[in-house]
Amino acid sequence: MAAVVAVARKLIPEKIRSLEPQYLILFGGLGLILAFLVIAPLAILLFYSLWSVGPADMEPGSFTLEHYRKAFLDESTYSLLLNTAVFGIGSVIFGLILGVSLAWVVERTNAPMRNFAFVVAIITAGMPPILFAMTWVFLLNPRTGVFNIPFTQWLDWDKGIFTPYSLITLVFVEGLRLTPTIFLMVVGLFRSMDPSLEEAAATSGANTLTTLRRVTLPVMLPGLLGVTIFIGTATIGIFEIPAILGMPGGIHVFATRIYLATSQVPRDYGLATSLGTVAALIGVVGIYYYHRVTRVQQRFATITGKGYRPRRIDLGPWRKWAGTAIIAYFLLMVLLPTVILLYASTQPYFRPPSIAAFEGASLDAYRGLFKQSAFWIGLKNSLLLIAVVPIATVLLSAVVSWVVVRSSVRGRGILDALAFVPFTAPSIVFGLAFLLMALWIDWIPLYGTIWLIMLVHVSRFLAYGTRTTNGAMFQLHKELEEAGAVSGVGWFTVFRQITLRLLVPSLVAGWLWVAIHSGRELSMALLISTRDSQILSVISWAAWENGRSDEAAALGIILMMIMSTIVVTARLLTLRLTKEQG
Amino acid sequence: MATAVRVSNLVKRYSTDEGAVNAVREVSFNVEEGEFFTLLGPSGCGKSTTLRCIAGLEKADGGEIAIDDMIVVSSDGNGYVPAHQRPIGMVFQSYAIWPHMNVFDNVAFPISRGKGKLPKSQVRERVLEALSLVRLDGLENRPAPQLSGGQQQRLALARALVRQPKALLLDEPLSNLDAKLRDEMRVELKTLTERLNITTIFVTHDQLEALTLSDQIAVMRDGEIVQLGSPKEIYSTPVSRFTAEFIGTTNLLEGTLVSSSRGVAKVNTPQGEILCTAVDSLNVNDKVSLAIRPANIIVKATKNANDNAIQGKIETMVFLGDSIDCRVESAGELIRAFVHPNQGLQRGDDVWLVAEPSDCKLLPYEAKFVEEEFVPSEASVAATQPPAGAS
Repeated sequence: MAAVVAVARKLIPEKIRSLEPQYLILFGGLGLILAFLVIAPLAILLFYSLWSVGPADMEPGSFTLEHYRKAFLDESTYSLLLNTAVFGIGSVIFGLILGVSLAWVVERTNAPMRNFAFVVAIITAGMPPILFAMTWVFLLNPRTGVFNIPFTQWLDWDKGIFTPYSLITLVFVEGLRLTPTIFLMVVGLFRSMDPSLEEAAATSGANTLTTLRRVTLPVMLPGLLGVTIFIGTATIGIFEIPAILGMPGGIHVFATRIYLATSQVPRDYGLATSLGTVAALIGVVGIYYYHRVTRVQQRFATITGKGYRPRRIDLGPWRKWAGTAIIAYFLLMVLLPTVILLYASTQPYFRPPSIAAFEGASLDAYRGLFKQSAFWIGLKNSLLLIAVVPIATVLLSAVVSWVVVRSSVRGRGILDALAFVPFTAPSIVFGLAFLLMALWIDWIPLYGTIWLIMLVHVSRFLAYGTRTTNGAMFQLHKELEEAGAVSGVGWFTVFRQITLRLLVPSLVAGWLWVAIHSGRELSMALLISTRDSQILSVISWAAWENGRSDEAAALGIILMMIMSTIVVTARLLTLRLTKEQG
Repeated sequence: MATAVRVSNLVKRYSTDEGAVNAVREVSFNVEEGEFFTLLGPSGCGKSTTLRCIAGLEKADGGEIAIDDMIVVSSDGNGYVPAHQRPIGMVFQSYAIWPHMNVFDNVAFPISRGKGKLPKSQVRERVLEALSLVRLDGLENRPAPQLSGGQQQRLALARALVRQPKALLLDEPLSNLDAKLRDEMRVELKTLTERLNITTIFVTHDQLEALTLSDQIAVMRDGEIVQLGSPKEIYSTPVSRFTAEFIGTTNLLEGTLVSSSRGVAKVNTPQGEILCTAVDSLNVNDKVSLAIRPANIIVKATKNANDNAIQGKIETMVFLGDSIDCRVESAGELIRAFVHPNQGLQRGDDVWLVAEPSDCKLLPYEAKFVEEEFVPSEASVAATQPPAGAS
C-alpha cells in the first residue's frame, strides 16, 4: 500500500505535489465542479449522437453513425445549414453596421443626446428576445400588422405587403436586436483607443473621413473581429427569433430544428444530438478564433488601456440628424415594443388599433394569469433563478479567476478554457445536453426541478462571468493581496476581505448581466422545464404557441417590469458604492 | 547580537517559455538583530525574489531561511511556514494600500484579524501609536486613496510596523516617490529604524539609498551575492568591476599587470603606466581593470616628476555648481574627474591626470556590465503571466 502511495506521489507533477493542501482542495474542487457543469453534459450529448437508442428507450443500444448519416442524407439539413448561415451572417452584418455607427456617433462626435443613446442601449440589451419577436409579429402580420394598416384597411387589400415570416425579416429583427449588445461592446473598444493616434493622423493632413478609414477602423479591427465572432456564435444559438418569425413560414435554423426534434412525438434524440454536436463544433471553431483574436487585442489594450478623453468630431449641420437618428432608435427599440405589447396584452386576440379595439380593451389577460397556479409557480421560479444564479455564477467566476490569474498552478489554463466551453454550444443544444444528463444520472432527482435550470444557467453564464472577473483580477495589483498575507492574515480572509471587496464594482456589473440574462432566458430552459419547473419566459412562449397572444404579451410586460427593477436597483447600488469609495 | 534573519543556500527557479531560469542561486547571508541590511543590484539580479522568499510570497526551491530562530523554509523541503504565519511586516513598491478602507482600518487589519488578533481597545491604542510613529496622527478617518504619495508610503510603513514584526521587509519602497520626497523619506526611514532598533531588509537598485541607509550591503548580480560588506567597504574596495561600476561613478581602465612588489603594482594601459595598490590574487601578466573614482583625480597642466599620472586633452566640461565634471580624452577613453571650478581649465587644454596609487583599485578583468534595457512593466507582466517578482 505504501508503495502504491509513493508511486502515485511520483506521478503527480512536482508543481502540484508541493502545493499547500488548501490550494489542492480549491483546485481539485473547482476542477470537479467544472467537469460536472461543463464536460459531463457535452460528453453525454456526444454519446447519444453516437448511440443507437435514446435516453428513454429500454432496449440495449450500440455504437452507431446512423444519426449523422441520416441527418446528412436528408436534403432539409442543407437548407437548414444555408438558412442558419444567411440568418447568422446577415443579422450580424446588419447589427454591426447599426451598432458601430451608433457607437461612433456617441463616442466620437458631438451629437446631442449621447447619454440618452446609452440608456436606450442598456434598457434594450436586457429585453427578452421573445418580446422583440412578438413585437414584430404584431407590427408586420400580413392581415393584422400595424404597418400593414394602409393596405388592409385603407386599400382594403386581403394582405399587406409586409410579412414577419421571411428570412429577410428574420435578419432584420435579429440584426436590430443585436445592436445594443454590439454598441456596448464597441463603445468599450473606442474608449480603450488612444485618441492621439487619430490626432496624429489629423496633424499629418488627413481629413475626418480618411482618419476614420485609415487609422480608427484598422486600429479597432482586431477588436471588431472579436465582437463579430462572439456575436455570430451567439446568434447561431438564438431560438426565440427564428421560432416565432421563422417556424410559421417553414424557415428552419439549427435551433428550431433541434427544438422540433425533441418536442415532436416520438422524440428524435438522434437527430437532435447529431445536429447539436455539429452546431457545437461550429461554435468551438468560432470561439477558438475569438480567443486568438482577442488575445492580440488584449495586448493592444494593456498598452493603451487607460481612460482617454476622446477627441470629438464636430458634426456641424449633421448634428441634428444624428440626434434624430438617436430618437428614432429609441422609438424603434423601446417605445414601440412597450406600447404594442401593452396594447396587445389588453386585446383577447390581436387586431390593429381602432376605436372598437380600444373599447374592447380589458385586463382580462392579467386576471386570467393571476388565477392560474402555473403563473405563480413560474413567477416564483423565475425570481428564484434571479436570486440564485447570478450570485452563484459571480462567486464561482471570482474563485476560478483567482486561480487562473493569481496562482501559478499548472493546468490553470485548462480551468480557464473549461469555464469558457459552455459558450461554444448554442444555448438550445446546451439545454438538450443538460436534459440528457439529468435523465442519465436519474439517481440525483434533478429532472423536473428548478435546480436543473439553475445548473444550466450557472454553467452557461460562467463563460461571461469569468471574462469579467479575469479582466478585473488582472487590473487588481497583486501586491494588494500580498500585503494581506504579510499582515499575518490567512488566504481565505484575505480573499474575502480584500480581493472580493475590491472586485465589488466588477462583481456587481457581472451580477447584473447574469441576472438579466438568467431572468429572460428561454432556449435552454425550454427543453428541460416541466410543470413544476416552469419559468415566466417558458410560460410566455407556451401561451404564444397556444395562440394566446394577450397572455404572452402580458407575461412579457411583467417580465420587463422585473428586469427594469433589477437594472435600476443595480445602477443605484453601483452609484452608491462608487460614491462611498470616493 | 543575535542573528535575526538567516538565509542559507537559497535557491529559486522559474520555469518560463524559454526554459528554467535560476533567479536566485545559493544565496546566503545573516542579518543581525537591529541591523539595516540592503540587497542592492540591477533589475533582474534576484534581490526582490530573495526578499519575497523571506516573506513567503515565493516558495524557495532550496536552502533554508530562519526568522528569529523560527525555521520558515527548511532545507529538506518539508518545513514551510506560509507568509501569514511569519513574524514579518512588509512595504511594497506600490505601497499596496487597500483603497476600500480608511487609514485606521488599513493599519488595524494586521492586528484585528487572523492569528495576531488583539482586543479592540488595544487595537486602537496600537494603531494610533503606529500612525504617530510615521507622523500621520489625526488622519485615521481619511479614506486611504485620498492620501498623497508620501503619506501612502508612511501608511504602508505604519501597517508593516503595527504588528511589531521581528523583521521589516522593504521592497523598493522609495522608488515611486519624486526626488525631493525620496530624500526626505530616506532620512526619516533611517531615523525610524534606528529608533525602533528593528531588523530591516531593504531591496533597492539605487546605490545612494543603499550607501546612506545600510549597516550591511549585499551587492547582487545574476542571482548571486557578489560582494557583502559595510557601505564604506563596498564603496572604497570593490572586489569586481561590476561593483565598482554599479556603486558610485567610476573610471575603468584596462591593462596588463607588469610588476608587483612591496605592495605596489604597476599596470600597463593604453593610457600609460599607472601605479596602484597590489592585490595578492592577481599575478604579473594578468589582464586587469583599474577603478579610479572621479573625485580622486587631480587635473593639472604640468606634472611633477614622481606623480602617478597620464596625459589627456579636455573634451567637455560640465559646470555642476560646487564642482566641474571634467571629461578628459586619453588614448580613446573618456576619463571623468571632478575638479574645483576656480582652477581655470579650458576645453581643449592638454592636461595631466594625477591620482594616488592607493586610490587606484586593481580589479580582475571583466567585461563591461550592461544593464538590460527592457524592464517588463506591470501590465505586460500581468498579460504574459510569468511568475511575478522576477526582479
